[in-house]
Amino acid sequence: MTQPNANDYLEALFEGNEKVVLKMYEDILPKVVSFVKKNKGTHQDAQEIFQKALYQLTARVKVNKFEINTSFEAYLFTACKNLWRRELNNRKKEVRNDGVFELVSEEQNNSKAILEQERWELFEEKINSLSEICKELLKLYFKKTSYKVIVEKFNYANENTAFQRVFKCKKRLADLVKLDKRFQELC
Amino acid sequence: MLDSNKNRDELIEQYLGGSMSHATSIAFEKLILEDKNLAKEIELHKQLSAHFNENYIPLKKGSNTSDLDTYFRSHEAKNILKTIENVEAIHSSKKKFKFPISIAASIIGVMICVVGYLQFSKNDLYEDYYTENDLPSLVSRGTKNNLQNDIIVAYQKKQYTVANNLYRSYIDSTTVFNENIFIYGGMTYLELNEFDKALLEFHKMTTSNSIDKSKGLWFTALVYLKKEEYTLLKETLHTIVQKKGNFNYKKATTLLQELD
Repeated sequence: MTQPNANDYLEALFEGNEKVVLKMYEDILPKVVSFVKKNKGTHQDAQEIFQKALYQLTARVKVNKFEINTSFEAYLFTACKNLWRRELNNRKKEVRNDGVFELVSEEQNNSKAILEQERWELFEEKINSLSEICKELLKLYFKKTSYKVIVEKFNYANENTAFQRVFKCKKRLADLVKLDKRFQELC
Repeated sequence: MLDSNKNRDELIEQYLGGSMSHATSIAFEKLILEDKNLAKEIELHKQLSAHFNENYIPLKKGSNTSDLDTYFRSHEAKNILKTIENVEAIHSSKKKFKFPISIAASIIGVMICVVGYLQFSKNDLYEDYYTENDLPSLVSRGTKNNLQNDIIVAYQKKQYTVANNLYRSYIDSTTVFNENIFIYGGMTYLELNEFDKALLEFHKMTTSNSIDKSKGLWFTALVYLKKEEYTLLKETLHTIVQKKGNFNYKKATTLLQELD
């Protein structure tokens, strides 16, 4: 079988073409299994996440007319990573037994996960439209790197200069997100 | 009191950076409750922070999901789910069918190069179970913990001798520190293959009063894993799995199963 593209895979899902969907499992699932196992999960967890990601993707395509702009594999892997973080957070909440659990149906749960994936894409898109320096500065800033390290890395005159640069980049990113029509719905 | 000379963005920065005084924070939080736009601004910052740190943050309440909910209840969606479930079953059964073949392949592999295979799997286990993600996050802002930051930066750059020298200077020069720094100290020794010294640092962590003290046990296990001292490794792992709250309880359980 020649390597199917995103459209072939989506068509197969809508038409129930098990042969092509199986190819998807064989080609992409091992990568997801490897990620989940390295991040406190099992093979079974990875399979469940993979299934959810595929299912949610079909709804995005059907309801929101979503189109995949990267490769199918890259999209699905990112969606699985995000879903796994979501799952881990839910499990942590269960262990801590904190807060009142919101009763949501399986449908709503899937829908919310889709909107979270859309929010992730919105942020990623806006971050990628920043300059390389801004991206790097914000990465360090949000990872709580000290300004001293930032000064050294970027050869800034002092910590105040570093602070001003970070501040401007952060404001630029926030403005870009806020100007997007998806902001009110997703953030 | 809020400083009227400071603009809103600066105040947000101070508030989120934790550099606001207690009294000002309380006044600012009151303002957040009154000002929806300000609350949204703070929320956006938190979401971006989670994004950069690859953490999960739930969607705000009240998001409109009705169109998607309706679709998920449709026959079309249910049929798609059925297809996916069928394929998953086929995929799983195919894997099981392949199992005897993979065993045969393994046996042949073992017969061909037993020594090489064992060496590879041992090294592989350490690579599988050691991840930098398990290291504590200690980088802080300001000048107070410069040396501590330098240790971490050197470690992240894989300059283990430099990091180790800095660590020793740091421990000698201070009496008040975050016990998690023992983990970095131990790891610099472990990376330099100074196993006994690494064990000593992790022991300090395990016997400290830190809430993270069980991390010391996990890193002790990593020393034995790298050193290939399997009896001591198993003993340490058994101690970890005695308590579910211990750091990397699940990983320890899996590793024990793999060793058995």
